Amino acid sequence: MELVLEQITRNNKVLQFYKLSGDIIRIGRAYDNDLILRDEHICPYHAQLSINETGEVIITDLDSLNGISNKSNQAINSSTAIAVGEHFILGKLRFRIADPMQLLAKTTKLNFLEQFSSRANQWYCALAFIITVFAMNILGAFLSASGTIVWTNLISESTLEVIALAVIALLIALGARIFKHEIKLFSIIVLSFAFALSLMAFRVLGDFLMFNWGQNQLLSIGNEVIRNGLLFVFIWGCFFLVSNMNFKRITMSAAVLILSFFGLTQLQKFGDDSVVLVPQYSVKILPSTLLIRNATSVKQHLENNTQLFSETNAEAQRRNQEAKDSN
Amino acid sequence: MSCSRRLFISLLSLIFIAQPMQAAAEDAENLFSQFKNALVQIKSINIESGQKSSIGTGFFISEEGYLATNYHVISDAIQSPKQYRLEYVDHNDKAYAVIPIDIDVINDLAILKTDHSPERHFILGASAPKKGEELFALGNPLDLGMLMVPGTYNGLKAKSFYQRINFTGSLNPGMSGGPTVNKDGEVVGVNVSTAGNQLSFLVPVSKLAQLKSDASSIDIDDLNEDFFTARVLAQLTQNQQQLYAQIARYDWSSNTVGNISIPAEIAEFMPCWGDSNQDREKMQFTETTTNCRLNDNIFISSSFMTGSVNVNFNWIQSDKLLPMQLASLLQSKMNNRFIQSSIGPEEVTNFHCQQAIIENAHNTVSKGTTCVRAYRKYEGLYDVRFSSVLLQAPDESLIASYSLVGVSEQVAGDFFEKFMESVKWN
Repeated sequence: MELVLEQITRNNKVLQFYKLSGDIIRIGRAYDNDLILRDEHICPYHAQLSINETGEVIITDLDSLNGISNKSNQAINSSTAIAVGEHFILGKLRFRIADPMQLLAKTTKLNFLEQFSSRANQWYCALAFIITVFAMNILGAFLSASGTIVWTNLISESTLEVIALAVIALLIALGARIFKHEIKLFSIIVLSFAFALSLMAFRVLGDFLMFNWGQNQLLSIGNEVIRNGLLFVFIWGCFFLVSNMNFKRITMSAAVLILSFFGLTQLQKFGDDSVVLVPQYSVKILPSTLLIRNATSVKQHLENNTQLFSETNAEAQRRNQEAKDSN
Repeated sequence: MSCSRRLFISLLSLIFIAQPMQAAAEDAENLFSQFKNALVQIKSINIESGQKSSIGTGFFISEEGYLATNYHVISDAIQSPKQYRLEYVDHNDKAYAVIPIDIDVINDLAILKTDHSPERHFILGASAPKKGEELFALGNPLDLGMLMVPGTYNGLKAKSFYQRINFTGSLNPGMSGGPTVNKDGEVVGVNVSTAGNQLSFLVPVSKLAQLKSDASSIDIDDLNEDFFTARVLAQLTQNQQQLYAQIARYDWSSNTVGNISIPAEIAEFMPCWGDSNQDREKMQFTETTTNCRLNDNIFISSSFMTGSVNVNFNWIQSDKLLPMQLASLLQSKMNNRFIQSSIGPEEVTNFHCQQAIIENAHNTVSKGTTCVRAYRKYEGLYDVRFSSVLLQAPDESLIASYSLVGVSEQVAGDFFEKFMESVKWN
């Protein structure tokens, strides 16, 4: 008898397969079995497979402690016929007899992302990104320093940030163990630091826009969309690198995470209607050479300000009405 | 001169000095005994707990039972009439109910009425005292019983928008709302505040006379919370119009800092103070600040003070910083601005803010942020904060800002225009 036994997940994903031959194929934890399964829930001599007169594959329980179950987790009789494609469970491990004649899926070419992630999984790629982020941090700190610059402080702060990012990348990489996926540590470092760089670039653009157009609703919405978009891409990339999920599943998972995070932050913002006694705004100032917007006249600005008075009046009326209704 | 002659002259001098002092002491004693029946302690009682929440002094000003005191003594009962009630305690320690009839929040005065007719009442003086004239402040300091504090009239407080008499005598908490009288027992002022060190302030009796006249035409049946809210709103509105009209008329002559012209003074009643960082070591930039403020707040309640004005100029110059670094410094100063608020969250809305690049008539370009919040109870009045930073130079700039507390939209707009046109590059 020759057969191929597939070890599968609950979702029918093949984890590994065993090509076995013999009249009787013994399965267990002991080293003299035909199929050795190194799982503590498997008895030394757990089960055996054989062929009967009619050519059916028979599975026999060898008085094991945890027995043999079918797909529905029901214990099966000590000797039962198992058809091709039918599941049986030994301990926690799930198996299926493969159809040797089944059509194999077409060979697919590695897609761009898979090729890219393989190429990026080099120590020098990771190092290049680390150095770039480190240098950008130092440059940003230097350009925003208005006191005496203490270079040791600048370098140590930047180093700490880089180390923190590297630790995050490491934790993400360890997630590959949960999915039993190959750990591409350098690719994950490249992804993490590329994400940090993109956030920096986005912040520079945001500062430029805020300097010229100030804080307004359109910019705030754009800021949220782009930031969450970048985060979505980052999380998508992390799932791609550490898991075996297909693209559709990865997209769904990343989208659910981002929407949940976004939803929670918005809930926090809008849930609180209490009055804050100091103005809530943030001003961005850059050198005037970066000013591209035309200035408004004093009179025009006054006209634009009437909207502020209207808004506060509306809020006052709303709050007074709410106070009256609650009394 | 012989020894005995010197002794005689000394003794004679002592008699002449002692006699006026003795006469003055006798005057004071007579005054106090004459008018102690007309003095009362005013209490604001929390209805739920039955305990007093504030105390002050009041005094009868008519035989019909009208009393005068400070507004701030009875503000709880005005702002929350369902939670507080008023009573007065007379010289026999008897308590009687009293109701507010009219208020003047600008001058911190109030007129009350009781059904009980007084044995005696004070007469309001018709003319101002002479400088150096001896006065007597009456009141109940620290709840210790009615006392008299002598002092001197020293004219009106200089450089102040609000008329207050300088009284060199020690007023203490609890004496608020009590009268200060001349030696004839005529009221020349109402005790209102102290600056410590034998320097106190009185509201001129002319303000009380005006309020008393206004109160006489009020129908008691019209008195409710809405009536007093309308009174406060009308007084605040009129006051800020008068205040800012004076500021608008004032000549904001220029002062030059670096290459920038800024106003030297905003109004004579808004003193300006300056400072710089030149005495500090290892500074990467030079900074000077000029701050002009009207500190006199108008008390509406313990969680609501209004009427202040604050104008600030912060000039910064640096040869050592790169343009990006200077911009970062200006940004941190703009975003760290904090002006103390004396208003509670239930009185106002949130601030609504707007940013813009603004160019004035002198082609001076600045980035400005305007923030506005409305008063919930007093429609048409707002707190306005404006902050701007001058652009156009890589090594020098000015942060110009102001805070106007309790102003109308029109007044805020007029001030903004004058402010923006007063700053320019030279």
